[in-house]
Amino acid sequence: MSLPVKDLHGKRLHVTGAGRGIGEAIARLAAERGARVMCSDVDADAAARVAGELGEGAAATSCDVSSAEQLGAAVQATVDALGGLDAMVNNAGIEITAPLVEMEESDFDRIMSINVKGVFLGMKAAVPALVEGGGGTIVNLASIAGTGGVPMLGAYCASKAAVLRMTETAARELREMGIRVNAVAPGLIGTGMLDRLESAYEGVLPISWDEVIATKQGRPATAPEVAEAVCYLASEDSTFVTGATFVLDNAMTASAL
Amino acid sequence: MGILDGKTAIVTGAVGSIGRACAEGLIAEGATVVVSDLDAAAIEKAAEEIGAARAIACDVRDDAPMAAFVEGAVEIGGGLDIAVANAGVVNVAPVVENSLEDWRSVTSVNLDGVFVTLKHAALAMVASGGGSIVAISSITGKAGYPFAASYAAAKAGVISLCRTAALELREPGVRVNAVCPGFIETPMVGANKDRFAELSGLDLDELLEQAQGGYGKPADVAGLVTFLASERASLCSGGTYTVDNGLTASLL
Repeated sequence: MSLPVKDLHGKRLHVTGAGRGIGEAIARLAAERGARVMCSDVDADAAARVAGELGEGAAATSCDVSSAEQLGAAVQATVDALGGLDAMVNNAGIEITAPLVEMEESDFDRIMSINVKGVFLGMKAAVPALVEGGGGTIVNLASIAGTGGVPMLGAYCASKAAVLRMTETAARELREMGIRVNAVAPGLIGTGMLDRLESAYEGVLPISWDEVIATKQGRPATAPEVAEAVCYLASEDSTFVTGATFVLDNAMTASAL
Repeated sequence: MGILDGKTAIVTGAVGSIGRACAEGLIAEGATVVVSDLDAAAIEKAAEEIGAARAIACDVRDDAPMAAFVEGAVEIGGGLDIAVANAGVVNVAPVVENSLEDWRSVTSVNLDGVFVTLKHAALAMVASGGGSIVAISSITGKAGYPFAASYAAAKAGVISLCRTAALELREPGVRVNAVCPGFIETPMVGANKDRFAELSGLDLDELLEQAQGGYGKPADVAGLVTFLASERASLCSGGTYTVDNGLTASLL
């Protein structure tokens, strides 16, 4: 590292799930910090909308991360459009709420195929392109739900814990190739998912959802705040940081209460 | 244009290589940095070399000198935004051979010193509307490390202190985090290599080549500290952030 901070000037990023929420915020901040961004999303129109607003240097592609073939094509599209790949952000994910033992098997499989297999396939697809450019970074989106249990989110918790273990393993395996792999674990972030959780928890929790956020996390949090940590880990400013989990929850999980 | 323009910071133990690199990192991003160390002559010299705003000799184990140090920084900056609690020492010895005096010589600096720094810095930050406290812990605060029990225990204490302080100080807008470096190339690590080899039969250089891919640099730690000190880390509080090139990510 040589100070001052380099940010993402000249870097080429691929962000999965960039059509909305945290993925969109990552794409926007990365572009602001000097990166050229490939926005991919299973919703091709959403990806195209975000890329269109980022202006020149950004591109969009359709991608279902549960498909190795589609992820391979999406990474190739990045190399074709941007001339290479320096950072892969495996952000795409879903949640389905249900008490664990009442969850449909097909829903469990769907969460695993996107949240776990999608991150696995994203890393697998990105590594040859990163190696081609002499190394790079991978940032995987986990969650504080990967660090502890959450009622109604059992499968989601398991999937995010899997992301953390894959991140740690890949960090060691890819170190020699000059690829750093890190995870972020956001808390309760103001996105569509949080709105859906509010509905899912209605009548389940003894206090209002706003009170949950205020007491546990101290305040509401936003997607751009998560994007800051992702951009830091994707950049060369985070040298020697690999295999790490950056918890982003304003001390929520620091508490014993 | 730096990401810390207009901010005022303090760094303890800034004669040591990690503390010095942290001060340099904050200065490079535009912060006004006031540095301290136990060694008055050495901190004067270091401050001059790196362009710190002021050097104030300070023993982190005591309230009065820490209060004066923080006050000195507030005088220059008009408030306090960032504190890096870095000062630390190590004593390499089998746990059963530590005298209580040996034990306290380490914990008094590495844990008590962080508490004293955090306390005075937090009071000043609350008075000026919030801030960011970064304490230098260690991967030995998260995992055992033979022949450095006092060091490891104190560093674990730092992680715990940061968690609780982060919760108490969340409302007034003070973020508190611990940074856990792996093995960084510093005189402190170098000076204890032989003693470690003698006690363990292990060559630390060889061990780390395999496990950590070699030694880290003080600037690697400074990069992380700079990020956590900045408003870019607005959601980071009560956390433990590791910079060890994947050393503790693997069980092997």
